[in-house]
Amino acid sequence: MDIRNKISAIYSLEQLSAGNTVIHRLHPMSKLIATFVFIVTVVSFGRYEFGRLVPFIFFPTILMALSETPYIMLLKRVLIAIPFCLFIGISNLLLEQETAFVIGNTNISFGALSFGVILFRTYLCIMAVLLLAAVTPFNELALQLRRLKIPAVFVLMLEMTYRYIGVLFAEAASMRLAYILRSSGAKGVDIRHAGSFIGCLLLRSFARAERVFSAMKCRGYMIKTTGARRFKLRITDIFYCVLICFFCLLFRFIDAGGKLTVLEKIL
Amino acid sequence: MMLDISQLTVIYPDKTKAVDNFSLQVKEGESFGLVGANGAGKTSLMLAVMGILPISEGCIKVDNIIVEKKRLSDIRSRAGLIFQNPDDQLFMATIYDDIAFGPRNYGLSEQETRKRAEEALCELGITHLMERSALKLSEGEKRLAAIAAVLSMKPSLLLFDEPTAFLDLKARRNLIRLLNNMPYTKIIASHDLLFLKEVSKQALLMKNGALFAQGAAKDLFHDKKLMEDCGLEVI
Repeated sequence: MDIRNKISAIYSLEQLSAGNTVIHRLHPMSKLIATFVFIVTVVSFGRYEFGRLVPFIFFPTILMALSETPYIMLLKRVLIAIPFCLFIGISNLLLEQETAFVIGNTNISFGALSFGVILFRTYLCIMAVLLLAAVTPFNELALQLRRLKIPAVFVLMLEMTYRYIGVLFAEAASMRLAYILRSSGAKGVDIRHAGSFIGCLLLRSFARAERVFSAMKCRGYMIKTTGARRFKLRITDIFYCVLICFFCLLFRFIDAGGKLTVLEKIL
Repeated sequence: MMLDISQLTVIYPDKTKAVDNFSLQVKEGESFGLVGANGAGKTSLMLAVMGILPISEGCIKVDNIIVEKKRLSDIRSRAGLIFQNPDDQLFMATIYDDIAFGPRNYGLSEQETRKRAEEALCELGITHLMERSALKLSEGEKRLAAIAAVLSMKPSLLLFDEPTAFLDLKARRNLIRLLNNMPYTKIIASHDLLFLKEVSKQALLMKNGALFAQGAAKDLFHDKKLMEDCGLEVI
């Protein structure tokens, strides 16, 4: 039952994507382009431009509220990626110790600033991708990737990998259970048997994946089709995409924080 | 003729002959029970009809269309295979998406897809499962959802591979009732002879990939010598 819950957790984002909010109803291409523009803009900022990244927090926040996506679920997934950023950013803390600015009595070094930017940027990008997955079914995304002329074989691999995770988990769970039931009191797979266990798991999950693929083909799946809904592009879709792109470019080229400071001085 | 199999041979890459010189004609609306010991070639035969396994020799026609690579799309819109394990067949986020998968692949509009999905769910009495995930269904519900996923394609020929596997008695009884009410041409492979006797008047016995005997289910399933020669037991 535990593993069923884990598989369910893996696909819980996709289950959210079956929702019917205003964001869910948008054309997948519009959401895909908006997310892409958002990520490129966020990544394009300099390593010390923390302040200029702040306005971008509104995109995931507003999207989450409109799509009724639970914040905790997304945050848990973002936290999985954070350790990787910590490893990347930690060296900045050690190498760049000159003071960038002072808050109260605390000196903030350039290293700390760039470390913060890496963390914040990661948070924004992963959140944007997770939100895209939470509001758009995977096969619809795959269809849009094909329309964007991404080679069909790459999209197919992406789809198969995604489906394969569940298959792999299910096979591993049943094998592990069978193993534990025949090994007195063991809590996991003994290192002596790990090699044959993993080999067997690979073969079993490969056979299972073949059956799943056969079932897909039996219902008309070809490499060029995805079983995705066909959407009509509406004015709302174009408006959403243009709006997101506009704000991304606006905050990219105009320092909103700086302008406000100038405005305050004038007033 | 809804299904015309003539001298079909299917050989796996490791040279194993899965189906050996098998011939069969099935008229529209007929229902056949397919019986054979494990490894007799029942599943391979069905996969060959669907164009999943390549044909080594012979010919298969579904609704007068030859099963060949360029006509696979037509074949799969006319014939539907319900797999032994419904978990292999339900791979989308919700049951509705699973049922809509086939019609969408055939380019039907979302309106027509929904109509077909609702019809299929209604026919099987599982409309309430529409927005559920397959991960949270019982085996009986999964079996019905897998059948609905195939029915939404509006096939003329239905192939069932061990449909009673994983089912409890109540779900099995429900399945018998459903199959008897389905007007489609059916081939049902199973080890459950009592079940087959209830859902098909005619039976086929397979042995080592070949058609060993064909006749009325009530006669074949009680012929001790024939059944034992085929590696099976009488009812």
